[in-house]
Amino acid sequence: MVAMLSEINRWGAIMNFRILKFLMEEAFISVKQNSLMAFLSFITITVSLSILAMFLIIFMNLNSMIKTVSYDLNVSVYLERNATQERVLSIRDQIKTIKGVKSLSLISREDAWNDLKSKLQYQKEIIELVPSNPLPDLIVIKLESVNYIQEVVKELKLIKDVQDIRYGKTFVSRFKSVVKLFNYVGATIVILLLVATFLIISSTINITILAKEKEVKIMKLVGATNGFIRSVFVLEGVFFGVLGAGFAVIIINIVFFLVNNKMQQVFHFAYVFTKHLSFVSLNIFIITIGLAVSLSASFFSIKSLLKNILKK
Amino acid sequence: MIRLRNVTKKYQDLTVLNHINLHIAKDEFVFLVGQTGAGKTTLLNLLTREDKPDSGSIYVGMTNINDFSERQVSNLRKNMGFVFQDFKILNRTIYENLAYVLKIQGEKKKVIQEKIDRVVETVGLENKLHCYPYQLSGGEQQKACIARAIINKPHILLADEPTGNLDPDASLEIIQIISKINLTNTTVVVATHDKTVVDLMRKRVIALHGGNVIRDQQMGSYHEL
Repeated sequence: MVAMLSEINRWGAIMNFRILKFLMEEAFISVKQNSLMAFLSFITITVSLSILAMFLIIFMNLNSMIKTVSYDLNVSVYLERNATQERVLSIRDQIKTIKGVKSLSLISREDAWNDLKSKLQYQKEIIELVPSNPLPDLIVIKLESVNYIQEVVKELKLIKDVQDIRYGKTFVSRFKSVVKLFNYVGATIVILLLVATFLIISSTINITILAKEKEVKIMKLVGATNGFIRSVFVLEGVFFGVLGAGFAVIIINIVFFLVNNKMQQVFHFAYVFTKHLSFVSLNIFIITIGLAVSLSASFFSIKSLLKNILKK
Repeated sequence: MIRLRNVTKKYQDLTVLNHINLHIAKDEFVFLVGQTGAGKTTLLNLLTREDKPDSGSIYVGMTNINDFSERQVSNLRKNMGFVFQDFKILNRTIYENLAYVLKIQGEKKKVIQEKIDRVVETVGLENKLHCYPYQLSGGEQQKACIARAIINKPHILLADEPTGNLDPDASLEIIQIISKINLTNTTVVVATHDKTVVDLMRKRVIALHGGNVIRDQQMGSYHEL
């Protein structure tokens, strides 16, 4: 008998290709048998992952827009009109030493006046109304990052002979608030959708397990281990995950290809949709998330329900 | 082949098997008889390790199966065949039902075909291979269940009320098939209420009552003569 048992052991632990094929066939049969729930699971995961991908793309683009806007953000420092040339140069050198200042350029009041006059050469009467050069010296500062703006402005305000400081403060802070709000709303929606996906896949697997109680019993009696039986249901969950994620990827790629084309035609700045974004990474990410949600939902169902059936 | 030593099984306060000692030799054919609740099915469940005794040892071959790991239980069951009163046939064709067992084991297509051809010939279902269970009579469904049970040439065949849902003619046919399997070096244990079948076969009869063996008789009958 011992020899007999060890002889039989030959197929005990090996998960060969034929067994894998059998498991896949069984998962497919099960999907066919519970087609309504399977369809619901598939649709839910596809919609959830498509929305997740959409939020990710918009999030990445908004953040890249913040970067672009921040990069172009200049701080204009207007000096008192009575400041001497030496004083102006001294202020310029002082500003250069402030942390966060990347570069600066000095536009003298004479250059600015000449520039204005040349721009208004066809409205000379306006210029003639002004008795003398009313413009102040201007220092335009480029920052290393928009994050330095508050500190730099604080330092500039301490400098004597600085008359006014101007920068796109309101725009940047409002834009950042909108993006922040968008991120919170987006994250909430995506989390809710992923939870819904998890629950629907889990319910589908639960129904499958209950419907397959007889199969489970037969599998057990012909010597299938609990691990083998679990793998039948895990594979079914994976099937939903991969199929749903695959469709989500197809939808997202098509939608953004069309949107990108339209944006290029209308606004000529559609580069923003792809410049900071790798669609290959996004696709891999979406499929990974689909797999992770479906796998965890399957394991959750198996742990709670199959355990009781296997004990019977 | 099978030995039970002082086996006791309780469900809560109810003693279902009470200090049972039994020995079933290799290739033997044994009927387990007794009223409902006598402990027949529990005994079969202990042999398949679906359940474990509260005390005592169960040997299959030379090995005590009580201490078996999940993997060892799996291997034990691969060497046993099971026949049920309610057939437990999947709603697929008979061919698919038989192939299902072999596919789980990762058998090759050619081997699957050979084994199916062999067992359907044994049980006489050659012409019903592509029928669904609902297209078959009760007897034919039980034949399919037997075919599935013996597809791996098990050394032990356990049957729990195999004729319980069948008419007398079908019952006799089923028990004759099981008897034929017994002649191919397979130890057979049949739990049954079927008096006619037991009395006709004149095999060893072990009678259980209230969890105790009250009779163990070679060439026995359903009731004590």
